[in-house]
Amino acid sequence: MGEFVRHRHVPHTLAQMNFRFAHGDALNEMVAFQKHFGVFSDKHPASRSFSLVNAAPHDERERRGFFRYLDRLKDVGSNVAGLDGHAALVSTLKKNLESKKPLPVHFAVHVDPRGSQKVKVTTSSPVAFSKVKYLTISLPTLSEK
Amino acid sequence: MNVRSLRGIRNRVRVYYSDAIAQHGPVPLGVDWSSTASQYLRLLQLLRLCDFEQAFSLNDFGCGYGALLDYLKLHHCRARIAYRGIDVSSAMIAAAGKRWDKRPQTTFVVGSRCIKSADYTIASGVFNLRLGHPVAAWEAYVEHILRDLSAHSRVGFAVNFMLPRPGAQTEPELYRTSMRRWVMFCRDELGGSVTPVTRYGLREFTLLVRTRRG
Repeated sequence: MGEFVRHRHVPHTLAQMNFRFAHGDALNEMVAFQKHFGVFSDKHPASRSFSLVNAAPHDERERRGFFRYLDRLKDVGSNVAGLDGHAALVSTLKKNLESKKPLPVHFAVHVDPRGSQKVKVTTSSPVAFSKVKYLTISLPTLSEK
Repeated sequence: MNVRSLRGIRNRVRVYYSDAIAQHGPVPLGVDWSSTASQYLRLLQLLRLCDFEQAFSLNDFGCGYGALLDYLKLHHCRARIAYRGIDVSSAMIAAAGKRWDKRPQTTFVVGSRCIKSADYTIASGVFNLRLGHPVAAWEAYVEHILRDLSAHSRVGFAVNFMLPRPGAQTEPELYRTSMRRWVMFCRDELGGSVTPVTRYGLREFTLLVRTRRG
């Protein structure tokens, strides 16, 4: 983010991701996609899954950058035991969407120092006015120079 | 429905979809779907009507850029299907023809009627956008299309509609409806045997209608 997706497109990218996994109809859709098409799977890359469900920027250049960013998550760690960032992202979404009580997903970004970047998976209630619990997936970025 | 009103609605629909594909290109947004996955989930329901063990002919009414053929290639690659795509927008048909010019037994035609009969006809999302037309006029337009689909489908046809959102205000651009309204029409007016499909993850329903000939 920032480097792969230009600064001014990052808010829209996160909004698009959060919109596609939001509480209510959007989450129901995502559960159905997973049930019928196995959208999130270790058999194909996250970039393909995010493209299929259109949780990505609309702009073609930024979209390509975003997919490169997702691919690069293979090079970072995660707080999910034994999984790199990419595998953690995919397996977390798969497990959640296939669970009996799937949670809406909130995507965020955080800054980690170079060399110790991690995808962080937690649960939280990120919408200030609501008590709805979300699965929160925070993706690592580097500080701007 | 009088010819003038029908032409007026068709013209609006033609302009809307021609603009959409000009803006976005041959991708889901170009036919106003939110994603490939949502497009495929609808097609999965509509195609429940078809017997893929047998060769068959298929009218794809409102075919857009031919996304149904992508789905068939991916999920029914061995099926023997003679395909005819029909769309009111010549820009859509041009995009579809370009993408599928090498597929055998495939034709695309610009039009607002099926013209030729096929074993099955499917129409995905063609009733959802009423573009500000009054509900009564839009429903007359839907009835007109359904009569045409029924008349040109030897075995049956399948269509989908959006369900209302509880407590939400009516959106003048969209058409949402109860299932009962169209189950009754397809059964009582068209004489079809209707199987509704619901609860597949989208706020909508699909009707699988077997004609008497089927």
